Amino acid sequence: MNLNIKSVLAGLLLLATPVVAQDDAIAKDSITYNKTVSFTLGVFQPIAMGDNFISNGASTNVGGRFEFRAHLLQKVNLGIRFDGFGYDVTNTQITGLYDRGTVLSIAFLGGYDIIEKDKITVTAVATFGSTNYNNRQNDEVFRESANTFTIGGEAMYALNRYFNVYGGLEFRSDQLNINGPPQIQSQFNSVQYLAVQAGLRLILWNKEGD
Amino acid sequence: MKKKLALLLLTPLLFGCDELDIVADERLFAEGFVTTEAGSPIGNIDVSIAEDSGILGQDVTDASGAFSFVSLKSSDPVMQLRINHSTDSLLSRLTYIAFDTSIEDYSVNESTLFPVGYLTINLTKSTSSAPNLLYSVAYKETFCERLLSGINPDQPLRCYDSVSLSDELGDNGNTVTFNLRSLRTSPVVFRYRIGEDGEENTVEIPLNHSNTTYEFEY
Repeated sequence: MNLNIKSVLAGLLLLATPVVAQDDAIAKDSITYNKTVSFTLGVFQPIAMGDNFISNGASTNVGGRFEFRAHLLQKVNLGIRFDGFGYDVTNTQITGLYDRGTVLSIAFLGGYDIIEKDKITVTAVATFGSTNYNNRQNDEVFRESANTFTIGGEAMYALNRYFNVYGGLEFRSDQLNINGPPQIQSQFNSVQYLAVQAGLRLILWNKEGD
Repeated sequence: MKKKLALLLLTPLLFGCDELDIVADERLFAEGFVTTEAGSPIGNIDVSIAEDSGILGQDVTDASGAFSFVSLKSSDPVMQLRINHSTDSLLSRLTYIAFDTSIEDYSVNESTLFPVGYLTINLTKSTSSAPNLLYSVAYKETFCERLLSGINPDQPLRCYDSVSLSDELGDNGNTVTFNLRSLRTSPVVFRYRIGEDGEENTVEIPLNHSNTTYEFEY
C-alpha cells in the first residue's frame, strides 16, 4: 500500500494542533495523571508507506506492544516501549529470497497530554529506539538493524480509577543499515509506516483519582 | 557424560554445514536480458543469484527477455548469477561467476542462449564374430561459464566446449546405448573404425529436433 507520507504527517500535525489552544484550567474538571505509573498492553496494525522494500514487497501483520510510563510531571510522561510485528514477503524480486520477518523494537518514549477533559485524555507521543528485523529463509535467520522514530497521538478513556482504554494513530520511520548497489539503495534506506493502535492501560498510584 | 558432550560439540564438525550463511545488512542486485542468437527475447527463463548451498535471489524473464531482482548475500566467497539452470530446458545454461565478494551489482548485458538437443546413440554388433568397433563421439557442451567482473567475452572460463568420448564395442557386449546433450548449432560427429586396422569413417548427426536417435549396426 502506498500512502503519501506528507499527507500523513500533515494529518498528525492537525491532530496535535489543539495543544496550542488548551487552557490548563480545563484539567481541573478532568482526571489527571500526575505522579502515576502505567503499564500498557496494546495491538497495532502497521501499514507500510512510500517506496521501500516492505511497502512494495511485503505485507505486514498485526503487532503487539508493551509500555511502561511514569507520569512524574504535569502533562508529561516518560517511559519505555517494547513492540513487535511480523511481515510476510510477497515479492522476493524486491526483498531478496526469504519468506518472512519479525520486527522487534525497544524505544524510549515521551508523551505530552494535550487535552484532559472528563474521562478523556489526548496525548501526543514520540519515541526513539532500536529495531531488529529478524528475517527468515526456511530455517536460516538473519538479523538486520534499524533506528526507529515514531510520532503520533492517542486518545485515552478512563474506565475507572485504574483502567483506561486507548486508541490512536502513529507515524513510524525505521532507518535501516542495509547496503546495496545504487539501483536499489533507496528501497532499503528507510521504511515508513502508519500504525493504527489500541489497547488497555493500567494506571497505578493515581491519588488524584480518589 | 563428557563423551556425550564431546560428541554433541563435534557433530557439526563431523557432518559439516551445508546451510546458507546469509550476510545481514547487505543486498545484491541483478538485471539484464536473455535472447536467442538472433537477438529475439526469451521469456520464462529462470535467473538466480546463488552459491553452492542454495539460492539467494531469483526471477523469471518476462516476455521481453528482461530480468531484474534483489538478492541476499552469503558469506561464500564464490557467488554465481545463474541463467536457465532448470534441468529439463531445451536451451543452454549460462553462469556468471564472481570471486570478488565486494561485488554488489550483478547486472549483465545481453545474455545469449542456444538451442539444445538430446541424442540417443544405439550401437549394435550383429554377429559375435565381427571385429570390435572403435568409436568416438564429439559434441558441444551445453553450458557456458564466465567471470562476472571484468567480463571478457573472448576469454570465458569454459564456454560450450567441444568434448569427445571414445570407447570400444565388443569386449564387454554386443550393444551399447548412450545419451548426450549437445548444442544444436553444430552436428554431433560420430567417428568409427571396424577393427584395429579398419578405415576411419565420420558421420555428422544433425540435431534438427529436441530428441534425436541414431542407430548404428554392423
